[in-house]
Amino acid sequence: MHMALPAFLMLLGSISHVEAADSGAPADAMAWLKKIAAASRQINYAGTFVYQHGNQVETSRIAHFADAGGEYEKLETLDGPPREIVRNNDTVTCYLPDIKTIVIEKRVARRFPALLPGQLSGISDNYVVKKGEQDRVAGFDCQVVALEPKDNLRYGHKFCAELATGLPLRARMYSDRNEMVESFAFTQLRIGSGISRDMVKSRFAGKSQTWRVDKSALEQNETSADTEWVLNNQPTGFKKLTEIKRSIAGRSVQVSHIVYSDGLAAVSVFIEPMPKSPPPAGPTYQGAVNIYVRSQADQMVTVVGETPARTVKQIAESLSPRER
Amino acid sequence: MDRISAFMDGETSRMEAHQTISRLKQSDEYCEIWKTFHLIRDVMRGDPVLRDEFTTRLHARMRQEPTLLAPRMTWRKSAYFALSAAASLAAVAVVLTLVLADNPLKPQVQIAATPKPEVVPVSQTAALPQPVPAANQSRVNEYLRAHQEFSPSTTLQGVAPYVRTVSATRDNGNR
Repeated sequence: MHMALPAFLMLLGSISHVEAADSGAPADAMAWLKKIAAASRQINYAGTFVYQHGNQVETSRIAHFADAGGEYEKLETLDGPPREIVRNNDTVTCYLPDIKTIVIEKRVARRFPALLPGQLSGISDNYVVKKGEQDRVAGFDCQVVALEPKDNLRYGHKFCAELATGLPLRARMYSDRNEMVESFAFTQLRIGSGISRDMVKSRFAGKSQTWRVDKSALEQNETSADTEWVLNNQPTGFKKLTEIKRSIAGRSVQVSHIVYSDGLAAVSVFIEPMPKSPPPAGPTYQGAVNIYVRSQADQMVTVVGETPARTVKQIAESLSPRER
Repeated sequence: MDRISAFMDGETSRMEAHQTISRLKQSDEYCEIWKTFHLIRDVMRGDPVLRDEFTTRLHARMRQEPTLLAPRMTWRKSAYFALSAAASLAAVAVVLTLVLADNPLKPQVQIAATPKPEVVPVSQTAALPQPVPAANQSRVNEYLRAHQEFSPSTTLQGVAPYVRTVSATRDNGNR
């Protein structure tokens, strides 16, 4: 009997080990996550979606087309003043017909092609990734993939990805009280066949010849640099993604920009000389994004991130110039 | 009906709550309204909607239970204030009111779970984030654009990394 006990415990151990590996099928859920990330770049689609945050609900139309020449995307708002945003690889053109203006911007292609291994491990370190049930969105069957945060420093996410292509049909973000913070959901969608280059061209392309063209954001430059600012109390799971000095529209001087990420959520830190009329210090929010402003050593520190307010605040309060 | 939404918000006195519960036990019509209000709330919050027979069974069980009231909680104010005002309107109109009311997605009354009474120190209440003041809007929009280039979650959402800024530029056309 006594002899049998260790063997029994070992057996129990191995069973629970097997169960742990199977529970929630994390490998399967991670595979879905990769599929989702790739699909939104590679799949051709066109549809109408609803974006909801706080007390705002907005409807937009999107078309996405990818071929050997690259990626093209057109986004237009269906309520409020008309806005059309056309992305042609890294060039973004915003058409603002009400004020007859075109804004052209260069966006460095930073969208990750597929989730990188580093980002994947960041995600599984900080979130429990679960494959959920199947649902139906915009007439398509889809697979729910949930990312539950392991602590209260980040929001939870739920995606519903179209079964065949992995295209995310619905994406929702939840606070630690399980309130929905933000939601994107297609209400009407066409995938694959019938999507052409023409559908990603602006309908203002002809009319806009005489409009004012704002290219001030086109010459934006940035260089990776040591900003000489350090974070003394880094929130768990967040790692520095990048550190640059860049120009930002409306500022005469270069702004230091540091980005921290947990693999999914990102928090940006902007440091610049204190402006003549500084905004009030403290926490604010815009939609699902929390913002925290404070002054430190004659500089204005602004922290922006799609995380709970506490994360943004912790980063803001623990930043300081490096002591020499 | 006003009574029901007030009760859902925990805004009734102990005696009113007793009355509402007994009416719920007796009147099918009252139960129907109760159900509709919850359905609207679930849909608004994106919660899974319970099957009809679940509610029917729950009500059958409720009729057999003695009325027991937990100590009165102070619920957070919710969009149901809008609901009290609009209760006589059609469900669609109510949903619209909720959408237009402040923060329709904020936490509301939890029925199934026993909610913990929340004690928020005054100092902390004062530090709750406020919407970005209009004067700072354009500055924040520039930060948002700069930030979103790097945000992995916007990429994963796939739909469009620009949605948040499109949304934000709506009142800021003359940048």
